[in-house]
Amino acid sequence: MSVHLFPGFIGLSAAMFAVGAVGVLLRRNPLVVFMAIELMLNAANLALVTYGRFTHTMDGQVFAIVVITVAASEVVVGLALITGVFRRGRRLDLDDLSELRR
Amino acid sequence: MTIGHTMAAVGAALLLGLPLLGFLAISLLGRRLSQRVVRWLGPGVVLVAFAVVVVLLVATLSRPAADRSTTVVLWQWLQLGVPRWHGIPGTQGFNADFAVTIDPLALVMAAIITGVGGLIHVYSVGYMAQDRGFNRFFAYMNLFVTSMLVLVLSANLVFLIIGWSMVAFASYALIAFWYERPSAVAAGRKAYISQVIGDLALVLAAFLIFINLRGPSGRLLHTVSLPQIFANVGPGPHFHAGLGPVGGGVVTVIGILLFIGAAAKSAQWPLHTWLPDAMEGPTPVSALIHAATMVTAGVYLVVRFHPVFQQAPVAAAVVAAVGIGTALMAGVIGCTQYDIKRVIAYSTMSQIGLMIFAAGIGAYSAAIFHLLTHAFFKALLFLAAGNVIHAVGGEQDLRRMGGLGRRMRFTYPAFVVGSLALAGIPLFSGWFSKEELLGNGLVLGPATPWLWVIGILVNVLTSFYIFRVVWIAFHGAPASEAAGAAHEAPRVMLAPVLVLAGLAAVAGILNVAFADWHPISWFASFLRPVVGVVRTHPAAGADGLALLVGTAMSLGGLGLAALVYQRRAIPADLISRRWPWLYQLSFRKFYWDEIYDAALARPVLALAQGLQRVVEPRIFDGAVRGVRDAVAGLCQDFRSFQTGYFREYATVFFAFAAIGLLVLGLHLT
Amino acid sequence: MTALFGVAAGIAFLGALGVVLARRTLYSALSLIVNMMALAVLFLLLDAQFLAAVQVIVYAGAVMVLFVFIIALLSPGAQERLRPLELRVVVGAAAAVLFTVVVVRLTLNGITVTASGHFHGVIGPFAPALVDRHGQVQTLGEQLFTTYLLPFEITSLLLLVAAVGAVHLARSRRPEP
Repeated sequence: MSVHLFPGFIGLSAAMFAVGAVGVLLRRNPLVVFMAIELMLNAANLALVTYGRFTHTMDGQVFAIVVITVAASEVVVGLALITGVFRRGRRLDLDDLSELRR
Repeated sequence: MTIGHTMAAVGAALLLGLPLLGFLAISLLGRRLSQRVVRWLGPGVVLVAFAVVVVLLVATLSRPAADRSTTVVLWQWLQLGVPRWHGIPGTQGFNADFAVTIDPLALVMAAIITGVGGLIHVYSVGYMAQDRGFNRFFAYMNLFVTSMLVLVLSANLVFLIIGWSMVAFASYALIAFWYERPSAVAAGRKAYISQVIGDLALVLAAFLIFINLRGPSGRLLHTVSLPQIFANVGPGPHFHAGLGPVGGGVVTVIGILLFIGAAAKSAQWPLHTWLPDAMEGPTPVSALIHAATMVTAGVYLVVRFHPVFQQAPVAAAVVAAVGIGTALMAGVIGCTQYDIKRVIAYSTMSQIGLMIFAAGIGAYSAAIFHLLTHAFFKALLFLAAGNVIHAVGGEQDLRRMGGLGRRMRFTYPAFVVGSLALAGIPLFSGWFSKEELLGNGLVLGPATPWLWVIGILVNVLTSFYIFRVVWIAFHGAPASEAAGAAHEAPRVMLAPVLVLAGLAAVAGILNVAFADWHPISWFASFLRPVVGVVRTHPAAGADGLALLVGTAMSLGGLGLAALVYQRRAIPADLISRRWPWLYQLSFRKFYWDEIYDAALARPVLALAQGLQRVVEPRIFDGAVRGVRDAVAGLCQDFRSFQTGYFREYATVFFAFAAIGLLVLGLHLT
Repeated sequence: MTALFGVAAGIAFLGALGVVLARRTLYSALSLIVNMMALAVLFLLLDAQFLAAVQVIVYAGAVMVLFVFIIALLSPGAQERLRPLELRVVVGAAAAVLFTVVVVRLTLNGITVTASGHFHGVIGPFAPALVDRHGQVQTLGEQLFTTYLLPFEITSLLLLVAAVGAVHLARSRRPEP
């Protein structure tokens, strides 16, 4: 793996992150928003591993593992929340959930 | 049989583990454990521990005298700084091992703690039988024994302090055992506060030793290991070795701080006021804590740290002076008190004062020997007093007793034996130990004859007040219905009393070492590897004189008590009529409680109330209210931003993140 | 190598677009799975074999199964979709492109490459050849349990908290009146 692909990896990571961010901002379905967040986490992972690989350290991979763990726990809690909201007879639409205002 | 490392380690582990096991089992299982089990478990673990001590004693005695001290590391607790495996053993960092020392001094203390303690446990089975907190009581007692053993066995400053504080807690729990009584809770609190002052002083002393102790080459040692400290404390080849020159500032401060710690534990002036109040606890507690073990911890500390005190003559002189002063003061107070337990408590304070005095002037083995005999006869007196209190239905006032001698066929002679031993009547154990102690007082130490004269005076007072108790409580006519209907204690409470009476009578032969008619001084020679020999004998015959005068004074006090309370040849209120101020001074315990109240408690309380009235509402509450108002105002202003739509928040978040990124980019390029 | 990277990166990017643009939630999930598989391939290219396996097993396996399961449970069906010429979509796309360009520019800023094809400057001891000789998983494990023990333990605590929280949230309670 030669170093000339480094910009490619970073570019892909940045692009995935941007796409995920746009998804978070524009979609109203909480499940999709969640998946977009997973996308952003994955992009960050890719950046971490890339840097680790090209600076010859293990830090990137270690933190990628930590990020995967965080993502897993986040999914568990988030999906539980979404299920809870849905069980109360709401539609799956983030714009319906504006109780934070009150 | 020899005492190798393995044996010492196993012995120490058993010794510490058994009472701890008892404490854990009883406290964790609590009420689920039936009283019948606790009755055997509680005293059982302590008595088995005593058997372990005996085995260790025998093993130690079979070694040559120079080889009787074993230090073993049970486990390594803290290793900070440069660790041991870097090849610099414990010089750079801070290494605290849980190490125990098995040496003659530790074994004598452990024997007292587990032996006398075991007897008191047995006694408690009877004394506490009707109490709801039976299990809790034995849990605390076992905890106390554990703490005390940690204290005396530890070969390490850190664990010494841990044991020291655990003892303080256990004594607090036991003094405040009847927590429904406000007076008991107050007494426990008072005791604990006094202990904490001592703990603080001890911790400061430990810090000073830690940062100041230098090795022979003048390099800082940074060690907390007691053997290492004692080996290096003296002056060495290097100018800076040890803790500086003899009598230097640092070592004197350390000595005084150590003594403040000892004074708090041993109820010496000015930290003595907790001991009489601590009589609120159950009587076996008084016997265990306030006669045999805890209050002697201060004596143990001074004797254990004698290498330090030998470097600090001023501190040692302070120790001796405070000890003898406390002895006199407590003796005077003891003559006028009417609570039977308080009289014995003041007598304890007085005797401990004598021991501290001896430790201060350098008569270490005499101090420890008196500690041993005192443990026997004072525990005996407390337990016998417990029998009396039990017999008259909880009454502790001497004036409501009387005539008990006829009804308590066993307790009465036992109490008299204890009194004879305490008073120092010839051939009872107290005579041997106290006269040796006072004889040493005449030939050693600073300002010698005067401190000795005070000690002799204490002798008179001691035999006077204890026989005053004997005559008021056991002779004459019953002064109350309860006293008339008194009955002998049950067998389980009598047996320990009788065993202790036997020991109090004959334990003196362990150390017959008077004057020059020569000596079966087993005890002194047993302790010699630890504490060395008494320094000088300048005046041959001086201790013979001391013996004669001291004995005469003890008998004189006895005779005086007989004249006042038996023959009634001298009216008992002579002093209170002639010199009412002297009587009041004694009866009011030299007004120390009032002095502390006026000098410490009231100003602090006034300060606290002032703070509460002024500073609290104005400054603290004001600040809090100001912050609250400011936040509330800001929130009113910013409320309109709050739409509740998640995506708008996220947009703002991303926008600011992007701005930050751009700023960063501009900064970099 | 380059070709493989191109293919995998392309699939990953298309997958990412699919997540955001798909009309049905299930398609979003499937796109995310595709994206993750492609990422696993990229991890392999980056000599992170263990991480590739974890990516496939944990992410594409466990997490996405959970997603799909929830989607099936709630069956939200078709919902809003992003029309390509809508203003907010255009603005979003422009912002995304801008972001990507800025990040790549900033990243490459100041990086120089040595003749042997490494970064100039800070280089750690874990050269890929060395790691391979010692064992990928061994190296990672050693790092995780020594240097990064504290983050590791905190992560485990986080998992515990998440599990407790999920149980609490999912517990059935009486509906509000």
